Amino acid sequence: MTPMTHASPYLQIRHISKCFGKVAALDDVSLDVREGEFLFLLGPSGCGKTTLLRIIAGLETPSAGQVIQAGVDVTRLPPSQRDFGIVFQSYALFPNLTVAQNIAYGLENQRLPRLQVQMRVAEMLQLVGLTGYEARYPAQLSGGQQQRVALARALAISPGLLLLDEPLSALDARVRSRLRLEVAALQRRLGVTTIMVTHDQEEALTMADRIVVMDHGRIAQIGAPREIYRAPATPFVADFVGLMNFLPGVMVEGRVAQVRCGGVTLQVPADAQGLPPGREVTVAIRPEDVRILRNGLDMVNVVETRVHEVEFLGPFQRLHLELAHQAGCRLGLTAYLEPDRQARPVYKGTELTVHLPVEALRVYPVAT
Amino acid sequence: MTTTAYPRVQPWRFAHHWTREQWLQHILIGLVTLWLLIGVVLPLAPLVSRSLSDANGQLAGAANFVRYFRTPGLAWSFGNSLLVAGVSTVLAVALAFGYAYALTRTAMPGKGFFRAVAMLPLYAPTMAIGIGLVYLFGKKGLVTTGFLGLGERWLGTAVGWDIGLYGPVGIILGELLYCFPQALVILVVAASLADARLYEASHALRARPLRTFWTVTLPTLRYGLISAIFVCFTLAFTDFGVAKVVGGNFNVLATDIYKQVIGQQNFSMGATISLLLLTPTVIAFVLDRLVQQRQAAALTMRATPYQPKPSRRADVLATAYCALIAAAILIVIGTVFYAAVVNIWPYNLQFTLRHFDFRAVGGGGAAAFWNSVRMSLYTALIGAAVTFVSAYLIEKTKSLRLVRSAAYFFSMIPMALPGLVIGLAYIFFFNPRQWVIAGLAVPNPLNFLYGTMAILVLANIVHFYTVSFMTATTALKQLDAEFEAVSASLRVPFYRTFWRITVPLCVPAILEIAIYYFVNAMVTVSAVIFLYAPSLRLASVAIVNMEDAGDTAAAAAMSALVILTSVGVRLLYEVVARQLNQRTQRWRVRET
Repeated sequence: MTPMTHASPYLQIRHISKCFGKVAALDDVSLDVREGEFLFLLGPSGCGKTTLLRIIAGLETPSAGQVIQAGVDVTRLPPSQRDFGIVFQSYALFPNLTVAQNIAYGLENQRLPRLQVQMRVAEMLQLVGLTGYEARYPAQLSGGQQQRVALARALAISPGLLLLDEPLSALDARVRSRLRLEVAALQRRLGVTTIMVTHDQEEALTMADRIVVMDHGRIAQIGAPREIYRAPATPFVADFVGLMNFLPGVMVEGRVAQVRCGGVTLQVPADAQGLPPGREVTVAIRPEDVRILRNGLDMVNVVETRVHEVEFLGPFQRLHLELAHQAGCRLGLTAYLEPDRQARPVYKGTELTVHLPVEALRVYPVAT
Repeated sequence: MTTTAYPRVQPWRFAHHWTREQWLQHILIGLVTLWLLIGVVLPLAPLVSRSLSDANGQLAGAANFVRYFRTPGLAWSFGNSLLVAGVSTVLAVALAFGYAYALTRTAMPGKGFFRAVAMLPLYAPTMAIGIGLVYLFGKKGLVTTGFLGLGERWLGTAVGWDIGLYGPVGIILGELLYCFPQALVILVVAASLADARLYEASHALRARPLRTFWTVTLPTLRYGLISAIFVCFTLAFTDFGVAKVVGGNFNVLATDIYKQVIGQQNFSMGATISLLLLTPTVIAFVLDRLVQQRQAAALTMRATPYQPKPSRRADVLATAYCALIAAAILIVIGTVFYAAVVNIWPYNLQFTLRHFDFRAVGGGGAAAFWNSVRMSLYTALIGAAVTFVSAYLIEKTKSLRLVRSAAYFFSMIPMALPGLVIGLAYIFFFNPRQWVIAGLAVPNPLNFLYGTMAILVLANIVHFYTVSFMTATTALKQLDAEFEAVSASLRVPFYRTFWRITVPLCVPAILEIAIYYFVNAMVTVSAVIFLYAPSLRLASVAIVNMEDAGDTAAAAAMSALVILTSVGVRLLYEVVARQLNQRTQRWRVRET
């Protein structure tokens, strides 16, 4: 591979917009997908992620913009002239064909010798671990097995691009978490460039090389799972990916960057220094970053709270805390309490001191 | 963000970059639209223009309509039609409601039998219903004469009862029998969509049965009831067969059209009355559409089917009610068969098959029967194929959206067109050697169809198109919406997937459509009565002509043949379909 082709991404989405009547489903979306990577389109329903996938597949035509795949502008090509395999949420397996016939469906059309088709089908069945199921009909398979047949059918024609439209969401939780690992492993083994649409942030975090978080037809953030989780670019991303505490406040004067939230003043990371005093902001912190102190230490950002509600979640407890408040301004905070048999138990009404580490805080200016 | 400005592409501007497959799809969609234009839309134009011109073809504006309403005998017909259609609709829907309630909400025995018997009138020409009524309540009818005098001989007193059949009473009775199964089908479907959980909730809240009926049963059946009312009204308002046989001097629009066209050769007045016939049916159709659109939302939620629990009192009551109605249907149809095999009604009741020898009477005889069978077969085969392919192209393809919505709209129109209107419109459209468009004479390229089997088949397909189209569309909608997308991604052309996936999955619906076409083509008279050629007579027309000529026994015999054929084909279909389903639909069975 020459450095030249290495530098140019496998798939380029350039300024794609899509309107359904007056509703803009996608608004000027640009995105590069690298060869061999596992990219996720993540967002709530109606964010445009499925529309974007369908445009990449040629199942929808964009109102504006370009799709370039392997250096070729495919924007106006019908699906049958593009190079991709697709798995839908419903799998869309042909119910009147057997598993083997389903997988061979795209191969038979290529006028390959029968023996070659059979060998490829056997190979694909082995790949997804369904050897011996050739003669079954889809209705005789479990949901997870159907999903794997759909995957095998899409991969049988060796597509340059694999598109997965919420392929796991029709499965029950246990099967889903097992298939997550299987699909991710399969993708890495084959090295096929893959784009998967999901609304399940856990799925995206566990499987993706990179995640594209979408909101209202626009890209909110692109990044590796860790990056998206640790440094969410907007409150929307912070809220959608994982759990996040939000504390409303205002910037105040000081040597270091500080925010006044209700009755307490919190020191925040230095990158918030640029915001002028008096600016309304939201301070965010992950629940697992809220540290519960057993003995009061002399540190910054130590806050007195009272337990409002205790949720027992098995391995740990989730605490809903109320910050000491004044003037009717009530602030809530969620934290985790890991089991510690020696410690004194926590009930509703228990007073707790918590520490909000500076480096764990993120500050978002409130849109004006 | 890149700073390079990329041109904003307008994809539709490059429409000429169609692939060969897209070309094929577009041509097929064009053909579907073309046949709907020729079969449905264009023939309506000369009908309208003829209604506005005098007998010589000169433009006369609304003169025909004015003359119609000034002619006392004719003007009455409009009111008469409204009256008989209104009364028979109310009766049919009310009776069918009780019947449907018994079938779906009680645990009475023999549901299969009751359902089958109730459907019987669908397999009979409406003239046959009229003939059955004549043999029961006519001048020499069984009931009128007190069971042919037997009652008097045995009981010593006259028990004859003359209900005054000829006129509104007879028409209403006949239309009631004709509409009853149509209303029942709609109401049973609506009732089986009801959610059992609503009944459970009502029961848990300790609502009394009557309150449950008003608050749960009626609201869930509301849309079905409205639909049944519109359908029955349209059928009863436009039916020709019953009124022809038992109408007597009581004129209705349908018989007026027939008299004007066949009797007086006044085509313009026929066209005028056609439009009058069309008005209420179009209104009913539009109202029904509006109502059904609102229903769509209510149906999307998933319902748990209702399982009726046995209740002695309700079940006995339901059985008695259904038995009464089923008996009425069986007696009327049975009488037709009985009359067909007795020597001379009512004087010589010896068994004979002599009425089945049609050589002695007019109407076309046995040849007419076989013509009807042939026509029905063609209608079934061609109709099922054309309907399914049309529905597929309109429902499952993505391109030419505007053309497809136009084709969809055209597909709905036949629902509002009475058979007589289709027949008359076809005369105006196909018969002339040349069309006069805006004073310009254009040779008619479709003239060759006139008087052929082809035009009869076309008229039948159009007449019964909407229901068949909806059946096909419903079946297609139940298929996974992404089959086409998956096939395209596997680079399999759409026609291959249509043939290997779509058609096999829809075999039950396609067979259902074929049988629907066959039975209706067999029994219908209204669409074909203006279109058959002297060399190509039909069974249903023969019934009308024989009855007209006073050969009622022969008409009964021909009716019996038609009923036997359509019921026979239906039964054959049930057997074949069961076999076929077992073989080709193997994948439906879940092995555990």
